[in-house]
Order: sequence, then C-alpha cells, then structure tokens
Amino acid sequence: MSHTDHSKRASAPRSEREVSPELRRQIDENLRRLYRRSAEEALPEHLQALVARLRDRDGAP
Amino acid sequence: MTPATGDDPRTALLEHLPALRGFARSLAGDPVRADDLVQEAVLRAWSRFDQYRPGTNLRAWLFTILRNEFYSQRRRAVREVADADGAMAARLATKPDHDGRLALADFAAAFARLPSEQREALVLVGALGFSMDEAAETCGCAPGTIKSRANRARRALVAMMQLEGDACMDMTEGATRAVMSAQRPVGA
Repeated sequence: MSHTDHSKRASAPRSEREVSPELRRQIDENLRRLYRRSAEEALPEHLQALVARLRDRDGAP
Repeated sequence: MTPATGDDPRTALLEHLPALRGFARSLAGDPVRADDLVQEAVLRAWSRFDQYRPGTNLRAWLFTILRNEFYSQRRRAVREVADADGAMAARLATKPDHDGRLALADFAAAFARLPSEQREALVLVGALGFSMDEAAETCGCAPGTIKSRANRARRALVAMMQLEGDACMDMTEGATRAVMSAQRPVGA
C-alpha cells in the first residue's frame, strides 16, 4: 500500500474505508469454505433426475 | 470456470449446476429452499434456451435466471412472511466465543444478515470466482456497483463480528463441516 493510499484510508470516514487486505482475504476464504464446499457436493438425485427427464424429452445430447 | 461456448447449452448446463447450488444457498440460506430455487431455475432456463445466444456467457445467463427467480419468490414470500432475510440469521445466531466452531457460526449468521444485494456480490466475486464484469452482468448492474456492494458487505461483516485490525477469524475445516452439516436437510 502506498503512502498516499494509507493516508486516504486513514482519513476516509470509517463507513467508507475498505477493510484491510488480511481481513478481506479471511472473509473471502471463509465464504469459499461455506459456499464452494456446497458447490462441490454431488448433485441431489432429484436434480439429476430432472435434468435427465428434460434431456430425454428433448432428445438432447 | 470458463463458460462453455459452442457446446449445446443443455449439456453445458450440467457443469454449472454445482456452483448454481452454492449461489442459491447463499441467497436462500435454507438448503432445501436453495435446491427448490435451482430446480425452478433449471426449468426456466430449459424453456428459454431458444433465447440464449450461443457464444455469450452461459454461466452469467444461468445465474441471472436463478437470481431473478430468487427475487420473484422473495417478493411473493414477503407478502406472507416478514423478515425473509433474517430467518437464517436467527437460526444461526450464537454468542461470540473463541471456539472456531462458534466463530464460523457467527460468520455465517453475520453473512445471512447482510442485504441480499451485498450477499450476492460478495459470493459471486469472493467465493465463486466471478470477475467484476461477469458479476455485474449477472446482477444487471455496473461493475462499480458490484465492487461497492462487496466492499460494503465486508465492512458490515467486520463490524458485526467486531473485528479490529487484522484479527484472525478462527474457522477450521472441522468448523466448516459442522456449520454446513447444520444447514443440510435431514436425510440429504
């Protein structure tokens, strides 16, 4: 962070400041743990069945 | 993940479903409701694939459909039940503690209290790897708006969790599993 950036951050109203890079990293990391994990779960059977039905119906590849 | 281009979108849809579920869960909170949301989005997308322009961003197109469905459902729900956004927060609310498990629950509860516009911006760019431009396309706003919403969301999380300086959030893998298990429907 440059001296100018630091000065800007220090002088900005508290409500307008960006969080520190370290806190930002931690927040994003915890969001990934919470939501990417759910994105990595196997699809539930009912969703797989729905897509299969739609593909069969339309003759999709 | 790079949006599939040139493929049949009905086939490419499958590769986006896991991330769609993650996005739906961040918006809806409740995993059962999130999967209902994904199901509705799939049905709507499938019926509108003739409107999808090949070569454009399929992922943003699908996420926009899910997002629109979420806000449509919420408008209907708000007429029936107040505090749609706060339901998840109330369930996860817990007293501050130094234990990682409770710290992650605090984080999840604080996140659930954010306005949905801030949650979606933060999850898209912070968790799911969307660029500012792609998140803006998904949410129908300017990239600067996404950046601003994500920044406001981070500040609000820091304030709600009373974090100062670079205080570390102790959220272990075990704690993550515990919170995600708590969000999972029975029998899932």
